[in-house]
Amino acid sequence: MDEINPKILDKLKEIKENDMSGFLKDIIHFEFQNIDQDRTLFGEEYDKLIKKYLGIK
Amino acid sequence: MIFEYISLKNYRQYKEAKLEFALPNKGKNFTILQAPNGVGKSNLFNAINWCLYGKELFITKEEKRLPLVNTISLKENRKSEKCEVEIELKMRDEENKLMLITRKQMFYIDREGNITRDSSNLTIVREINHNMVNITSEQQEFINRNIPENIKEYFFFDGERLDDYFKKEGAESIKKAVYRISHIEILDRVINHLDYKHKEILRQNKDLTPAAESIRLEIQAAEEGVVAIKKDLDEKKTSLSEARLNIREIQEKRKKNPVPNTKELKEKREELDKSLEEYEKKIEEHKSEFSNYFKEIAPKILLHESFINVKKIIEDKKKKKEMPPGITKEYIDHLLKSGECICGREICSKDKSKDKISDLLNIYANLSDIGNYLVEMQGDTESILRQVKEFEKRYKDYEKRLKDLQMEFSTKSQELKKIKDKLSGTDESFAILEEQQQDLETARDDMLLSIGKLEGNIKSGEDFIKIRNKDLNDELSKEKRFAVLKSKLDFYSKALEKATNIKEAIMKETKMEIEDKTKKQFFNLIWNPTSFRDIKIDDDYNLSVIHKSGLESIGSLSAGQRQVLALSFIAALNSVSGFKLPIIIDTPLGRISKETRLNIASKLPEFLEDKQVTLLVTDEEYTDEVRKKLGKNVGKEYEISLKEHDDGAIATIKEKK
Repeated sequence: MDEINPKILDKLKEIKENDMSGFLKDIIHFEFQNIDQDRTLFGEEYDKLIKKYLGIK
Repeated sequence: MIFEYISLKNYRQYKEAKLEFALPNKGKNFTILQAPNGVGKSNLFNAINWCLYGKELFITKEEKRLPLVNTISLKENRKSEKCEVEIELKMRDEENKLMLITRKQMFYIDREGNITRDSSNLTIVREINHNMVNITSEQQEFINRNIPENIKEYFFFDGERLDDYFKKEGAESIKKAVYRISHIEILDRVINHLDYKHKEILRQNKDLTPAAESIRLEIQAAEEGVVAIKKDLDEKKTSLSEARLNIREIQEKRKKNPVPNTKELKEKREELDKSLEEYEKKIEEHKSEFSNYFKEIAPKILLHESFINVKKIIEDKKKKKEMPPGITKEYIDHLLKSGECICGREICSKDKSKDKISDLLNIYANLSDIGNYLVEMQGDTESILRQVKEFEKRYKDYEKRLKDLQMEFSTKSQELKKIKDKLSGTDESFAILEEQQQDLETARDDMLLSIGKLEGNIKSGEDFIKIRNKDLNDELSKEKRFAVLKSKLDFYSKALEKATNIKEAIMKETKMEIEDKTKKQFFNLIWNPTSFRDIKIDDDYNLSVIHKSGLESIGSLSAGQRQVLALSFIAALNSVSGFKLPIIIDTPLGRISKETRLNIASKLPEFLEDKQVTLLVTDEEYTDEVRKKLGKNVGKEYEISLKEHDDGAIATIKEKK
């Protein structure tokens, strides 16, 4: 599929907290794009996203 | 996704060939490729796989020894010392946009006949906004997004390998494919990474209070413990699957043997052994009884004539009134002593009366004894004569009874022999199989218990971790300097929980969907649906077929039934995958009987109605009757023929009009 399984996206929509659903959507997309990579720099990406969604500088 | 055509140049036995697929519109969605075995049908699938992924999946040992390039073409190109293999696959996606995928590979041959090759070269042209655009980067990722490599189980059905679906490796492969297709593996990565980050934040913080650090270490230890138990649990579950599979295989082996239950036969054998022992005893007792009787009667038989004479004498004497004597010697003695005769006259020695009576005494003294003896003997004699008379009847009775006992003994012996023959013909191997099955069933039951306990331990561990996490949270809340740390931890925890819930929900829904569709397809396609109650798929994607009796019956399915089950499963996977891919079925009707073949052929079109289907069939499968059943659904029909040459072979694809 060229995109994430729609069922996952539907489940994310069910999450009431916008920041949580946004955060999960972003990391899921990140993982999807890097699925074929042996090693991903997920650490940096996760740090970046959590700061974004928690409003931390 | 629909295949429009595949063209092959110098690929294996295909020097130059093109195959146009039937397009699934107006109900003519079947493409038939007919050829005898060994001609190259399966290589068409290999060609598609090689074009898309640069790999061949189903290559025979012989073909592995040969290069990919057609050997005749290679020889023909000897002057130029090179020859190119090319496969082009034209497709349309779900939006009817064109995709052309071409893979080429150059082969070289030197004067000594050594063959080398370049890496293969992939070209992808895709229709985007009415323009044909070359995709030059991340080509393989592009292909994998549209036609994932490791989901061949979703669209390629090899009739010769259908049993793989019911094996552990098959189930594992399917589970991986399902996880990949439904993006559960992505969720797994998300969960693992969230968990890692959650722990990393705490681990890296060197400023925790001693109490917080202590709780953190406890949580860490508990988590490591849970990980170890989960690993143990996975191993046990794997062993359980293997045991179940081995049990199924043994059941199948035993099913092939006409001998029913070895255990029953053994019990019957023991029963007969015991019964024969009893009969032997009865026969011996009977003989012994008669022998004792005979010892008693034999002298009487031998003296039979004498006893008859004695009886005659006694009767004679009785007739003559000589017996029993009229007067006893005691009475005569009494008369002499009393000196008074019977008539009352005095007995005196003056006249001869006393002498006369004394003579009488002498005579009757002897006679009395003999007479009394004979009188007594008369009863015995008659009794002996009766016994001798009875002997004949008793002998006949003895013989009859003996014969009856011996006949029953003989019947049971024969029955025992038959059972022993049955048990020995199948032999030890069946006794061994039976024992193995029992051992496996015991091991399986033990494993189920262990698994239950381990799952309980995991739950306890996870509950403990939850509680301590809450305690840690409370501890961190006590100081403002931990506010950011705490908010990150909370956020990661919640994200982890949500991701886990989503994963579990998707897993459950996907599995249920596959199970429901498999079941629906199976009961629609099978010709004896009332024999079965249910189809189940477990969490590891192992299939179960529940017989109407409630028992697991996948090991007892016939070849045709297994074919139907595998077809149903593959159609369900195909449907749930989210990928609308063409289905290619190699030898779909090969190993089954004529009637079953016609049953499946009649239902296939309805079963695969909106899919593009290619069937690779042998002459034996594709009989006139099968052709008739499929007829109106066939859009394209081809015959593949092979011509052998000195340097190789060439396969030709010819359309049948």
